[in-house]
Amino acid sequence: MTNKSYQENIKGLDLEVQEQLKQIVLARVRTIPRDERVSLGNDEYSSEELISHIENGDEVGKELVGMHWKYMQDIAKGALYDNE
Amino acid sequence: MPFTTMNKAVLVTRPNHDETTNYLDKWSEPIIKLANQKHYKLIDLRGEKATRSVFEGYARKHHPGFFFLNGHGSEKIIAGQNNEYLLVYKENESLCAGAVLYVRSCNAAKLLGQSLVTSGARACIGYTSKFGFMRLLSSTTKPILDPLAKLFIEPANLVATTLLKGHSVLEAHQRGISGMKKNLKRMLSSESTQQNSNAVVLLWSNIRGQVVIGDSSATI
Repeated sequence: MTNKSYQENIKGLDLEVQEQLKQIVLARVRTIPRDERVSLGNDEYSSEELISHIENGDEVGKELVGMHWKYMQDIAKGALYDNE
Repeated sequence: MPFTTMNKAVLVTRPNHDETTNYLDKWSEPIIKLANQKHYKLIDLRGEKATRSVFEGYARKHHPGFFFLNGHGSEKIIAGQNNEYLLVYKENESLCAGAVLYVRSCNAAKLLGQSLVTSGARACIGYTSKFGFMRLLSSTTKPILDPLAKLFIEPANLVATTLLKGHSVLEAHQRGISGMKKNLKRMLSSESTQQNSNAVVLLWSNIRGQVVIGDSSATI
């Protein structure tokens, strides 16, 4: 099975949609409590660090936005409740 | 390398040089305990022992039937202590010929996983994306008691424990997925909080990313 990378997943989106998506993800990430950390890849991040990455639109930020976008797509398709 | 009988050697790598690897190290303890209970010949490369020379030495000498590899990684690399490369695409994959692998490293199933099977590994369960989890700072000194990390790592452990209990690669994969989905659904239920939304997305990413390469009917 091959998966498009999360970054590729958002590349084809209209710029306005990308910006809206970014704002949605920022709102979600802001709810991460201060005493929680996200371990992703070879690093771990606080909420503030993730917000910074998303606002900067760097690789980490784009990956996180892409991950959230993929989740939204899958939940809309009902994929979360598919039987394996 | 002859592989005509069930090989009871199990090789585990658990570097612990940063918070992420420390968590995976501590959360691998139940798997280590089970391997001992089941009388596997356990090769536990923990912390400073998780180096390439030690890894290769034990792999060559004992031809483990199961490799359970934790640590940072990429499409082409599985790393050990201090991110020293242990298993590298097109370099030393033949060390795992005849074995089943569960690789808890980011992206390793994308290229290295397939290459391991092409080089003779019977099967590999791994991730085509970054394996992620969330944790509580307050649990830093006791990772195994972290209720947030538990949602992610405990179901992933089911892959390894299912294999150690003699079940097939497919069953191990499915039990891991099922465990993660159970936690996901709980987080999505009415019990959930706004804070859970990020955990749900990350857990879904782990579910989507876990794949089986090779012979899904293989057992250890």
